[in-house]
Formats: sequence, structure tokens, C-alpha cells
Amino acid sequence: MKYDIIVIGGGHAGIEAALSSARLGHKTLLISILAEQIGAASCNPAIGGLAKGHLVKEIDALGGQMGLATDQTGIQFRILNNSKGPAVRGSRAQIDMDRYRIYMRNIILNTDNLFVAQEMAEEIIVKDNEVTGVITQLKNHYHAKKIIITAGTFLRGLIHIGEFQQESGRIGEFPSVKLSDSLKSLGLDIGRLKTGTCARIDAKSIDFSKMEIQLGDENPMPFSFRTDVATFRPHQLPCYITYTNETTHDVIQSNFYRAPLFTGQIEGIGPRYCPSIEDKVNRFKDKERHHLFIEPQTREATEYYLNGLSTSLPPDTQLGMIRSVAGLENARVVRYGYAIEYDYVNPTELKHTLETKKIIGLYCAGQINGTTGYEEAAAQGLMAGINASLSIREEEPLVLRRDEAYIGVLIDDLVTKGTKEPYRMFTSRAEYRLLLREDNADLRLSSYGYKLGLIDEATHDKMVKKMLHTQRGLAILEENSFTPSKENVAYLESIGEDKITDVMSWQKIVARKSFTLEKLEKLSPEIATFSEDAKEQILIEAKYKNYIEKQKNQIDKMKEMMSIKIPPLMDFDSISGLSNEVVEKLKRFSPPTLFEASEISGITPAALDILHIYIKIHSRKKL
Amino acid sequence: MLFAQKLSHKDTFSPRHATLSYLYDSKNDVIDQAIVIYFKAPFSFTAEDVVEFQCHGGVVVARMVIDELLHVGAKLAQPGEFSKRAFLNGRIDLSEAEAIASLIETKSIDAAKILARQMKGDLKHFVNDTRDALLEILAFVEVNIDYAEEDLPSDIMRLILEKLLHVKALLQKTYETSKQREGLISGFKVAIVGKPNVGKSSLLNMLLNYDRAIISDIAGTTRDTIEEEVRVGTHLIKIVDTAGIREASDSIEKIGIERSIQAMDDSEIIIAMFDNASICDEQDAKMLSILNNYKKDKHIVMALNKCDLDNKFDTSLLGEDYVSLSCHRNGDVIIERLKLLLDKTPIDDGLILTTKRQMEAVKFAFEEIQNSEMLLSEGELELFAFHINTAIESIASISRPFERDEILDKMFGSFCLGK
Repeated sequence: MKYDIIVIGGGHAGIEAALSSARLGHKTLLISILAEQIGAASCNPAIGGLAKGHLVKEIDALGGQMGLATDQTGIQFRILNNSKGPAVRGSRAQIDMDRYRIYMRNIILNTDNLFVAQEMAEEIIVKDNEVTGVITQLKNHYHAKKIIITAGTFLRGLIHIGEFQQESGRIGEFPSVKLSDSLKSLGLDIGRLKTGTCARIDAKSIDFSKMEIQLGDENPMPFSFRTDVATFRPHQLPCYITYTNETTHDVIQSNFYRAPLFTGQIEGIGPRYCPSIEDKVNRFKDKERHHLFIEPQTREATEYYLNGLSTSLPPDTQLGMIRSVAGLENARVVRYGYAIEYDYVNPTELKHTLETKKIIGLYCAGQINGTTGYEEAAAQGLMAGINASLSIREEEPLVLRRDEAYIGVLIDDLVTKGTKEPYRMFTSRAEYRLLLREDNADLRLSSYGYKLGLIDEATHDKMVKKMLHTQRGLAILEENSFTPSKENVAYLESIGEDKITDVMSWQKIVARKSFTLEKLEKLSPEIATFSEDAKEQILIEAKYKNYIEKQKNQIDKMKEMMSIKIPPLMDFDSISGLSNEVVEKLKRFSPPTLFEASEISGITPAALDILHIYIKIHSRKKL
Repeated sequence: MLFAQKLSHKDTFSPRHATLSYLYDSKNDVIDQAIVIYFKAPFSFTAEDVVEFQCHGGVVVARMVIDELLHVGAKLAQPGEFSKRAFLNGRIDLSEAEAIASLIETKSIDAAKILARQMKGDLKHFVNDTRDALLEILAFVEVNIDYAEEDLPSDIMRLILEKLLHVKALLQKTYETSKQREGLISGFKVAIVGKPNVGKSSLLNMLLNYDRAIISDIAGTTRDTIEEEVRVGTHLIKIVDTAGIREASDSIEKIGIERSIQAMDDSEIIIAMFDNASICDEQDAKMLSILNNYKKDKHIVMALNKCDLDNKFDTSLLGEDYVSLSCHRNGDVIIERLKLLLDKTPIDDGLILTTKRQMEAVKFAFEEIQNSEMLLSEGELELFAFHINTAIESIASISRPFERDEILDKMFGSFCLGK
């Protein structure tokens, strides 16, 4: 049985990897331990959020599935940080996790070139340092040119609920033990991490009247650039907010001695960013209460997810703390919260294409690379699928830069710095944050998707039109200005704008905080005819103009530095200030430019600085 | 270490011990008996292995030792190379390296004291503290952005503003203190003014002769004028537009006055000279009225020259604190007056920035914070964060710059040999 690409694992990373491979024309096999669970939301029933919404939009702009799936199965849509600037707004949706899963499974099974095998991959076959195939537990031998591993938390997964432990990939599912051994035997550096989830509560046992209600946005906006905004009318459900209290904290604290997190039972490192409740209570003893979001798992809302109450405490403690919370006094737990430890591959083992440096044709994507979050996983899955495909086509890889996409930041961080705890995306990780917005993800990335063949012509045309209109609009704002004449001042006052005392370009006036889309339409009848998307873009770009220019300068400077050539006969040994490890790596790879040097894992920014200085001194000596 | 072994014919030196040893040349002839100290890495100035030879006096012996070292493979250090290596090896940061560079070149004791404090790390601490404070502000803001859904302390914005105002005040104070004390480092600028033939030239010559070690003639920055430096006690003064003083006697009246005003604008101290032997004429009166404008922000020394002659000048016009002198006989009184004046400028309170680069960096950071304040109050946090980031980069550039090229060139090129 021969394939071009095999994807191991049917989670959020595996789905994007398999779909992109197949859509790019490669015969693809998705191996999943349980076909039923393809696209399962193991943790919270939500997609997006701050910085994560950015990732979903970027995945969508490149031709991935996550945004479309969310639009189809979402049950509440909100834009977070709506009061703040456009660069840091994040789209978030509650999803019907059942429908999401079924939607994804159907898409997978309905895609040409894509096949599913419900088996457990056990061994990666490698010949002359290059993958040739996979052997499963049923001793089926599948051949492929490329293998993408998206194993999530399944590698030697170990679940903890209090003293109870069980080897599982997700609760109730088999772990993948032999695959982990196979990766280790290939020489990959394997580490151990921990994550966890909360209990799920029977809806009929919850008293919502004691909680605050949280509704979706009145005008819900879809994630995907391909979803029609005009007809987007999702049926939205509310979430609820309640709080822990002193009793909750007492219950937790008095059971610390039974918490696997504190007793040494859990060895893996957990995420600081979304800690378990016992961790929060332990670290922030003074905090009187922690807020909890009670989120529906499906449209039928028969079960609720307790966002903020992730835990691996023993069942009786879980129940005690849950029932101490207002509205949950009579709560019935359907599924208890648990922690899971799992093996991950140190991402510095990977190139920017997500191919391993050691084994040709072997790619890793998603949680196996030390990340947390569906969106982070999907982004990597998509990039691994694209790059494995491009490699088969013998084309240049697609590596997104840090100034181009959050996906670029994510992958660059992972492969150059590695991670010791589950890595989560934040807007503050992106140094060019003001350029990388949700609203321009299509402008930034859709051309790549189109060139690859993952974005259709109509979608691409729409993006090009938005781009041209934006450029035209900005030109209008630059070219026109107001003199402080009586009529102009009167006009400005009539639209509720402060008067001017000097000549001012339209751009400067539009950049004012008080300026709105409606005013923009009044200002320029031509702009008024553009699409909503383009108008919004014009407004944002006009407001951010100075900052956008500054960031572009920063990028140019960085590019200039990165393009500096390293002399071929550079004597790295003589450079004091570089560690032996760095010197050894530079000698081994002899990178031609500082950019290539920066790509080598373990070459720190400080080492790059020193190298940069030495090259300068070196070149001056010659003069 | 290898070089020490080759020259001394000894196998080992215990680190950081002074060892008396004979030094031999390649023909096995004794060159000198010297003290050899071996500093084992990383416990040396450069954090590399270092050997010091302390030879007997005279140029010849040292020359022979150097020649022999070069013969066995040593290389001469480039100007500033030791400091450069110390910097590259992370032993010192840029503020310390800069202090060392300036210290080597410094011409006044005031400056030396301040620079020594910088070398001790005062500036580094200031930079680190400021950077930490700004990073904390940034972290608070980023939490507000990336964890908008969390129930954050309700007073978090007020906390950020408090911290911001604190850093802003600190930067402003440091900048202003440094601006006021600029003279301590680069020399206090002194203008000598007065009508033609009042004795400006004589006073200038007297001052220049007072300190035989006239350091240099520096072309004026604003015009084609000359400044000359003189050491007064622990201080350094720069007499501005000395060319103007010398030419004054034959220059046209109007140009003379304009030039004097320019000189006074440029300086911190004004020595205004009047002639004891003649009555206060129109020119003197004009000068007195001009001086009135400078009273507020310049030190003015009223000097009544030619006191060896009979008094005709109405001294009540000069106030109580004027100096009577005769440039030919008791010129020193003006030196004493300058010393007294300059001694009052304190050097011990607060941090003083010593280079233009440091001043620029602090000023820029200050301005960035100023720009950010409004954005904070308007809730434009992502833009606020952008400015704070820039401020951090600017402050950090004092001790560990991002754009190192030019600074490094200037710094390490202007070093004299060795550390």
C-alpha cells in the first residue's frame, strides 16, 4: 500500500496536514487510533481567542479548514478586546464540539486523495536516513515518501485523577507507546510535558440564575474570509460566569497532599499560561476568588465545561470544590477533570519546514512539538502538510517570516528556541504586532494559498480587490487635504470633528481616534463605494500609519543585518565570547549569512550580535 | 601563559600571585628581572588568560621585553582591545567600557570621579533599574491585552500610570542633572567680555599661563571660533571664542558686541571686565544692561581690571561681589573666584550621564514615555506598548545597544593603548 504522505493522528494538526496534502494532489493516508475522534476537542469547546484568532485567520487565508469548520459549527461568536486597537483584537467562538468533529470527519472522508485507516502507528521505517513508511499494530505496512506525526498527547500518555493513574492518549483512548520508542530510537530528543482539563457538568444540575450571563456579539463575524458575512446568522447560545470562593480554596488547599501536581506523581512540566486551579490557588494565595466561565459543549447544551477549573485533584475533592461554587451547589459531574503527561519532541530537532533535521521526510506538527492549543496545532499541521507536499514537488519550501504571520513567529520560536513548557501564542510574542492583524491576514497570506492551489480563484480575486481598494483609499487620503478655511472648518464640525488651524491631510484627520467608518464614507464618496472590508482596512491603515512605517523600518533593518555575509574563512575559534557549543555549530554548518546562522538552533541573539561585530571588525581590517 | 613560560623559563605560575622572575631572550640572555602575574581566565579584566610583566623602568628594557614577546608570537594590542574583549566577553557592559574610554582621556579630576563611579557600575544599575521598571509596565499592559478576559485588578491602569510617571520623573531628573553638570565632564564654558582694551587679552593670557598644560585648541562648533581649555583646581574650563578676544581690539564695535553675545550664550560662566581707570561709558552701560539678561541662568563674575591705577569707575554699578584685579599683578584672584564658584557644583548627588550618546538615549526614552501617556489614558494599549518597547530599547542601548556598529567604532577606536 503506497502513499505520498502519511499523517499519524487525526487531531487539529493532523486534519490540516492531511487536507492540505491531499488537496495539493498527493495520495494521503490519515492513520487514527479511533476514526470516531477525528477532530475531537479534547479540552474546551472553543476556537480562537487572543492571538489564537489571528492563527485561525492565517490558517484560513492559506487555505486551511479550521475557520470554515468554526463558522459552520459555532454556537457563540465574540470579538475580544473590541475596545482596544485592531491589532490586538481576537475572534473567539464557542463550538458545538460534536458537530465540529463530525464536520471534520466528513470533510476528511469526502476529500479526494485522502484515506483514513483506524489503526495505531507503531514504527517509522527509515532507510538511509529517509522515511519509507509506517508499520501499525495490525502489522500493516504502509509506504510513503513523507510522514507527518501529529500525535498530540498520545505518546506515552498518562492520565492522573488524584491517586488514580492510567495510560491513555485522551481519557478512554489508547496511548501510543511504541511510536514514542520508535522516535527515540531514531535519535530524536524526547521530553515530557503535562496538561489538563476540567470536569464537565450535567446541565440540568446547574442553577444558572446564580450566575452572570455572557452573550455572543450582536453582529457575529465569521472567522473565514470564505464565509459570506451577509448570510452569516449562527444560532448563538449564552455562556455563564461564576466565581470560586474561600470555601472552594479551603477544599483545594486541604487536599494539596493528594494533588498529583504537588506529590511528585506528575513529572512533566505544565503550562504557566493556563494553570490548573490547584496551581492557581497555591501560587496566588491572596486572591479571594477566581472567575469561571461555564460554557456549553454542544448546541443541545446538555453538558457544560468549567473554564478556569482545570484540575487533577481526586474525584471527591473535585466534587467538593465544584459544589462550593455559586450555581453549582447541586452539580453532577459527568466527566471528571484530569491531567495528562505525554512525550514531546524537542522542537529544536526541526527545521523551519517542520521536517526533522535528522530524518529526511519525517515531519512533526502540533502538540507533539511542545505547543498547547488547537489553533497552534492546526497552524503547524497546515505548514507541515504544505511543506511535505512542496518537497515532493521539489519546490522551494514555504517558510513564513516573523514579520509576515503569527505562524512565522510560532514556528520560528519553536525551532530556534525550543520550549520547556507547553508553548502558547500571545500577541506580545509578535514583535511586529501592529502589522500582523486579523483583519489583514488575507492580504498577508492569501497569495501564498492561491499560488499553492489551496485558495480558489474567486477568493483570491476578492482579496486582490480588497487590496487594490485599500491602496486606492489610502492614496485618496494622502493626496487630499483641508485648509483651515471657513467651509472646511464648518464641514468638520458638521461631522463631529475638531476644527483645524493648519493645513491637514485627510489621512491625519482620519487617523484621529474620533474618526469613524461613517465619517470616512461622508468624506470620500469614492471610498464609500468600496466593500466593508476595504473601508475598514483604509481606516485602520490610516490610523496606524506612523506605526506601520516605523515597524517596516525595523523590519528593513533586521533584514539588512540578516543579509550580512559571513566570510567563508572566518575563524570562529578565535572569537572570544562565543560558547564552545556555538563555535562548534558554526563550524559544522558554516552558514553563509547571519540569517542562516540565526536558523541554527542554539545560536542565540547574543551570539549573533557578537558574530555581527566580529564580521564588522574583520571587514574593516581588510580596508 | 605560554609567553610567560617562554620568557621566564618557568613551567608554572600560580594565578594571581606576583612572581619574581628573570626574563630571557631567544639567545638565552637575561633581559630583565621582572614581576610576572598570571591571571587565569575568567578571573581577569578581559575574562581571558592574561599575563602581566612588570619590568624595570626605562624605555629600553620594556622595548626589549615587548620585542621578545612579539618574537615568540604575541601580537600588539590594538587601541582599546582589552576593553573590547572585556565587553565582548560580557565582563563589562557598554556603559562601563565607555567610562573606561573616557577615563583614559579625561582631563579633569571632576570627570575622573564621575567616570570612576560609572565604571563601578552606577550607570549600569540605573539602566537596569529603569529597564526593569519599564519592562514591568510593559508586562502589565501585555497582560491587559493578552488576558483581556481575566478579572484583573481593577486598579491596574492606575498602577501602570503611577509606575510610568515614576520612571518618567526619574529620567527627567537624570537628564536635567546631567545637563546642568555637563561642565564637570567636558569643561565649564567661560566667556570673557568687555569693551575693547579693557584687558580681555591679558586676562586670557594670564589664565592660559596659569595652567602650563594647555590641552588643546578646539575649533568652535557654531562658528569659526577657538576654544581653549584650562584646569582650575579639580575642574576644567573652556574659554570660548578666544579668537574673538584676541581680535577684539581691531574689530568694529557692532560685530564685537554681537560676538560677545554669542559667546555669552554659549557659556555657563561670564567674566565681564570693566576698566577701573576710566569712567563708565556708553559701551560699559550697554554691557551692563546686556548682562542683566543673563543673570538668571549664568554665573556672572564682575571683574574690575587695572586696579593698580586710580579709580574712576563707579563700582556701585558692579554690585558687591566684584573682583578687583590687575592682570599684571594679582591675576590669581580671578582663578580663586572661579574655583570657589565651580566647587559649589556638586558631583556627588545623583547619577550623571557623561556622553552625548547616553544623554540622547535618556532623552529619547523620556520623549517616548511622554508620547505614550495620552495613549494609555485613551486605552490604545497596543500603541502604548509600542512606545514603551521603543523606550526600553533606547535605555538598553546605553549599556547594551542594539545598533552597535557606529558606537563600537567610535568607542574602541578612540581608546589609547591597552586598558
